[in-house]
Amino acid sequence: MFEIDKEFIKKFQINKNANDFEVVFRYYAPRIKSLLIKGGADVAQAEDVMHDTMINVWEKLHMYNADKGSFSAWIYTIARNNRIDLLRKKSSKPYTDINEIEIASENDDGQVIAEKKSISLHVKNAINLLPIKQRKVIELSFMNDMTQDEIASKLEIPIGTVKSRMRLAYQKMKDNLKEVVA
Amino acid sequence: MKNHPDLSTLLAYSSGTLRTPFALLVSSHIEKCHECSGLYNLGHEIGGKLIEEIETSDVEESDYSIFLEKLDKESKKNKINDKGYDFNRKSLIPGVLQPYIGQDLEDIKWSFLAFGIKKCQVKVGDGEDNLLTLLKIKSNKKIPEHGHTGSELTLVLQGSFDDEHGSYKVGDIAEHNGESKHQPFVSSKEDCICIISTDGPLIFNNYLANKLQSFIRI
Repeated sequence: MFEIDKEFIKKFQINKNANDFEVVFRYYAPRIKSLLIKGGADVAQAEDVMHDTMINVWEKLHMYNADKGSFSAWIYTIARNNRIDLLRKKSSKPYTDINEIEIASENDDGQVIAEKKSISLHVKNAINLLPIKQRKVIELSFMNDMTQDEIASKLEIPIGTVKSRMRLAYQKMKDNLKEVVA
Repeated sequence: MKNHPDLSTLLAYSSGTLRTPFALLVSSHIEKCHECSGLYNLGHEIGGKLIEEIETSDVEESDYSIFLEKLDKESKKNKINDKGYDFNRKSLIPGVLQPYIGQDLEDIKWSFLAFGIKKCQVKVGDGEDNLLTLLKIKSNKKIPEHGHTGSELTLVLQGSFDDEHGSYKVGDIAEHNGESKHQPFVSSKEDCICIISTDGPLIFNNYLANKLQSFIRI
């Protein structure tokens, strides 16, 4: 399968042409939809949020900074925020995420919050090194969009155990990635 | 900054599964904390890697031409409406909280809670649970000792307070859960202003404070 690598993204950012965007769309659109459906969205909602996410990708492409993280992480963050927005559509109060503050100040280096070193290459190994029980809570949280309470119910374990598995998993990943995470 | 959210809370925030009031406080802390912003980004890298590995065979392919039509319409619409909230980056109030509580601590409308303590509650979404409570507490004032039936996050916006677990200054987060009790007291010369999110009522050791719990609503 064609892999979207750093060079491709760099070229895409510079040229911003429809052909490259179609490659990005074909790769990420089904993944975003699958993520959303796993998280409980129906097919129509997943299609809508995927569309919103890809529109954001096109319109905010110049804001992606490869030094801050991987393109997949950037797209994941946009999809995550659009999903949160979908959940709050019924709410009278819009939700502001820290990413929007960052986007609002794209030319201001004073409060750039993201880590500058690329950690993408090491993350996959760090996830794979986790014990199965810890990886499971991470997947349920990130892929199935479950709160700690929901994970506790699904796995029939106390919420304290969910928290401690998450804590251990994060700590382990942090230790495994200490060379690249400040 | 010495006091951070628990790693499990930070991870839940990265995955987007924290309730809004908690997410806003964690987000506020991350704005000022380099260490937690690095971990938050690590969380997104986890999400990014998992999205690359996700199984897509059972997902119907999307029509790219339909998407392009929508992109064209939305782009035109966004050019007209593209004016977001105007954040004040010099404010002591973190950016994510500004749409809810304003840009100046002086503008908060306080009401009396107890001697030396004022409160202000802010709705951050629909439903009774989507509340943040601001407290303004006089120097040297003690809050009655209490335990928790759920989680409690406290973010310091001005001044400082101490409790049995540590000393908390501007930007610090104090996180407590059902197992912990504490009795915060204001250690700064100026009033301490903090903002709190809870997902269960507090249990005060003091009989009167417990009776007032339903009124206090924290």
